[in-house]
Amino acid sequence: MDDVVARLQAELGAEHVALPGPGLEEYFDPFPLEDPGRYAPGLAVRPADVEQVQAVLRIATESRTPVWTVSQGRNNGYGGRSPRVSGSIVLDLSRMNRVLDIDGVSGTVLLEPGVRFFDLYEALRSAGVPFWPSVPDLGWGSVVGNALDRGLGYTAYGEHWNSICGMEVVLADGDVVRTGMGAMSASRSWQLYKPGFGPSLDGIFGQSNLGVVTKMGLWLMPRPERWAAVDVSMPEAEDLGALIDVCRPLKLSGTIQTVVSTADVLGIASFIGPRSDWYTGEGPIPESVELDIKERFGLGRWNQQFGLYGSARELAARLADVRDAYGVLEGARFTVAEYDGDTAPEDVPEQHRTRAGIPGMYVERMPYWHGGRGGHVAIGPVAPITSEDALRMRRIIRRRFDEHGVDYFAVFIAYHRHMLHLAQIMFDRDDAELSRRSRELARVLVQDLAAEGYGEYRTHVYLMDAVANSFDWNDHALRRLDERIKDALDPAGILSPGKQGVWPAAFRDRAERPENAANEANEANGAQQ
Amino acid sequence: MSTDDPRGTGPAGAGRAAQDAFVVPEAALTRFRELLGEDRVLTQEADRDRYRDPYWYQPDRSYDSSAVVLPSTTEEVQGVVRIAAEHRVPLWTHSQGRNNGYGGPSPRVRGSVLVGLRGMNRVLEINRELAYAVVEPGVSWMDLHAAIQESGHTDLMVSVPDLGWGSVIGNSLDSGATYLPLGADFQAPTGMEVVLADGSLLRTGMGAIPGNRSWHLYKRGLGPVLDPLFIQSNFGIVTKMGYWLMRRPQAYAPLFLTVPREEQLAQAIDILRELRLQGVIRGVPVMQNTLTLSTHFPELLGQFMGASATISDEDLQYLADETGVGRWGMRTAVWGDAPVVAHHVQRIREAWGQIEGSRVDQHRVYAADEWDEITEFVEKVQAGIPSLDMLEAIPEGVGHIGFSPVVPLRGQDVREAVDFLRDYIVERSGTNFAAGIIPMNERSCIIVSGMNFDTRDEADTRRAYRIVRELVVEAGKRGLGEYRAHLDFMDLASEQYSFGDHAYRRFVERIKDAVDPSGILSPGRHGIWPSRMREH
Repeated sequence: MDDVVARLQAELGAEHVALPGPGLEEYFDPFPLEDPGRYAPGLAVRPADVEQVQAVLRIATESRTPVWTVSQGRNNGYGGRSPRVSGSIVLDLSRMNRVLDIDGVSGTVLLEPGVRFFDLYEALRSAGVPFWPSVPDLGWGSVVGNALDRGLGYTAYGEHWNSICGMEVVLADGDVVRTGMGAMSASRSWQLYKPGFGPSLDGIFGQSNLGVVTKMGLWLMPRPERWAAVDVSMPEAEDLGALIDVCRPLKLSGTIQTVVSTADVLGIASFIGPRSDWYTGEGPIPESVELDIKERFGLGRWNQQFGLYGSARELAARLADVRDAYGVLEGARFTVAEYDGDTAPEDVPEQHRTRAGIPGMYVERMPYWHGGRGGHVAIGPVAPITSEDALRMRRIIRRRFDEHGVDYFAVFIAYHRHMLHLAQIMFDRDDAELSRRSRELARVLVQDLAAEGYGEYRTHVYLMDAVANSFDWNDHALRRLDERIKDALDPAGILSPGKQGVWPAAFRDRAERPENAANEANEANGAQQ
Repeated sequence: MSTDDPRGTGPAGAGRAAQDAFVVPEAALTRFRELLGEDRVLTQEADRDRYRDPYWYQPDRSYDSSAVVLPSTTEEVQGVVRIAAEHRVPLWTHSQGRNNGYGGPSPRVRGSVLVGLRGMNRVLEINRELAYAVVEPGVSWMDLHAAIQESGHTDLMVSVPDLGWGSVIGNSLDSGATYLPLGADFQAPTGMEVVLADGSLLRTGMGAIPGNRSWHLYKRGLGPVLDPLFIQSNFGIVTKMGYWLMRRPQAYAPLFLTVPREEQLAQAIDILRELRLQGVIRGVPVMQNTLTLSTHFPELLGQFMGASATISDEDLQYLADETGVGRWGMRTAVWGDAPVVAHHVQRIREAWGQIEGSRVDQHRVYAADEWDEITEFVEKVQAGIPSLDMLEAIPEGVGHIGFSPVVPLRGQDVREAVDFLRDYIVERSGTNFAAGIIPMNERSCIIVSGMNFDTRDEADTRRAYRIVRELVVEAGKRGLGEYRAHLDFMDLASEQYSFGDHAYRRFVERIKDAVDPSGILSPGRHGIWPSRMREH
């Protein structure tokens, strides 16, 4: 390992290689679900450009040291920057943070992976282009990393994955591929036409360990003339199904252009303050306390949010349609805040900003629900947008939260034809007993949901194998194909082994699979000694 | 295109793979017959000839098959693939095989065994609530439309192409265009079942979880997204696919917009882009030049045919004015709730009105219960009603090869590309320039051009293919890459995508070798060759 360090330092400069010690702390999961040593980084490196990425991969290949790529590494709740295989070199791309191109005519950007939502927003503002970015709840993350992990935002371009158009990728052997029209050196359509010629490759680099994405094209939303933040609340716990069913046709018809999120009382309360503000007793928060919070902040039992955009007349027509549709819900409280497309960010209340692509840190307090150094992990099963599915998932999940004595935070997010149920498990990493229960709860939820045919859209490093194991149709045909491709492209198996449960041959015995039960002990000892 | 060219690479020898025509071993044929029965293994020339590109010079046998097998179930497809793997027989799959102008069902490697999937024609599911269908590869647009009508869920409609006889799966896997809002950018296909080269079966996305109900709803699944890997590729045979449908809108307004003078094209393209970006125009419009549109006015067009090989600019202007179609005319439509449709039509009028002398024709707004009254081809196609009307416009013996580069949807870029294509084709062929501009999304378009020729005339056909082949290279030098290519110049088209010393091709061929080590699935498709046939 000494030789590896020396070579990395020679290539990148000593200040860009983090060695074990205080400099490496930030590369551990900030919210570990178990012994952080199990997913401990061995080193971290911060390359400045593609050549340095290639150099790192060359050194990794020669020394057979796995590399775990992060863009900004703000993947908190899913493992942060920590690698699946302990002892890996964390390849931190945050220094590669240039906005390489802004096309103010077609509404596209070309970004390096270190560009944060804050950076992109500022770059677009100073370029003065009439386009918005789409941002998630927290603006500190990487735009590229978020899109690759299939994060979401709250404008009409909120399905970030769908906005990707063209990538540059460094492969395990250092070869550099450009996808789509970028494969033609002189093409001016790299950021404009997704499919390209031949098989479309952008898809296989998402949630993937097949390459290191060093450039990504993204589409931007044209700034509308007018927009509206719409909030609908319903008073009773039983109202969830009605809210889900009423939004489905509006999503299908395109009347509602954003994702539709539907949160319970605790889902909202976690943005406001810690649990101790409301309850200090044992066990999950009782319903009576939930009702108190609801009253105090004027919430509903279910609180739905979305955005509408268009010319003034178009927005009025959309709003009229939406009002008609929601009019059938008895007890619904419907509030609309309308804005001009160019309203200054400071004139938009914090809770509406992400619906106009304005980045912030509105929900940054959420992980600290239990105080201390906090902790959370999200379970996010995918389902059809039906009340039946919402209620079934809720039933499966609620039972286990209660059983484990953990507060249940429920948010449903409807996309185009599918929805996610984000169930947040909050804990305090320094409370060993609560951490244990949270860990066990997360695992049993994955199993229970899979037994009913629900799979996660994304998952924590701790759960990647468990979730991948549930995608098992035809004796794990999907994983077998993923791993054939993996082995062909990365024969030394150095790139993010275990990412999303896909393992290269060289490390496959470390996968948490029934056939590897005997190897568990090895893995606990780490990859590199 | 000499009839004795053993390489099957066409007259210019443009291909990368130089191998003799493949001859299917008798042992493999016997196994195919055991699996499928005599009737579904065709080896006689007359039978095989029903599975050829009609736009090819027929006496030329460069892209001939040696047999056609017709499985009708997924299990039979698996069986065919296993036999092929054992005997190392190159297969070439088609769904309906209506890919005319791009090679039809003909194989890239001469002597390949065609796998014809027309018999797998079941519509497996129509989900009214969530608006999607699940189809097998033999299901055509006509079949799917009919199945929707029979199911009684007539409030659903499918985004269709101009000709309704093609396969929903086949068209999607070739990046074919359809024209309703879901037609842009591969939005409709969701969740596939695929037979791999070893005969094993894969389900993509959420289909990898047994019993999952989101297979055809959520495009991403866990880990790498594989669906787009099966477009324009040869990594597997797709045997099932989900396809999103659209709810029939409250109101549907078909429109026709004109650009009266050639020099207004750039302005029109910039206006179109803004309307697309703002979501006012949501589907995929088609803008065609005077000559293409004048085929609807044979008596006027007839004045010019035969007078000289190329119609002069002056005469084109005369035609544009007399027919009223303009130098460019665009069909499009607006779908939605009645007030939104009225507002969008108004915005289109305002924006298009900036083009001096232009027209926006809008004769009727159809309500959801008036679909039966839609009878005109251009109105049907944008209402999701498939037809074969367009075939009637094509005279016997006329063949077509397409050349369709991707171009930024910016006035200046489209202007330059159109000028280049027109000058090249007119100058090199001495014939007229017929073209369509199809914005595939808000930001780019394909310019569908190419050559018409008499398929019965060897010299004429040969010349047309040669000119387009040379055009692929010339356009490539200008950064114009094709979105899809004819069999005869797939390699050349792929050759233009050369960034990083052909890094893209090296990458996909590594995947090819990993997933199809014996190299049996559609070798050469879109320039992707398995290792055993790769020779530079």
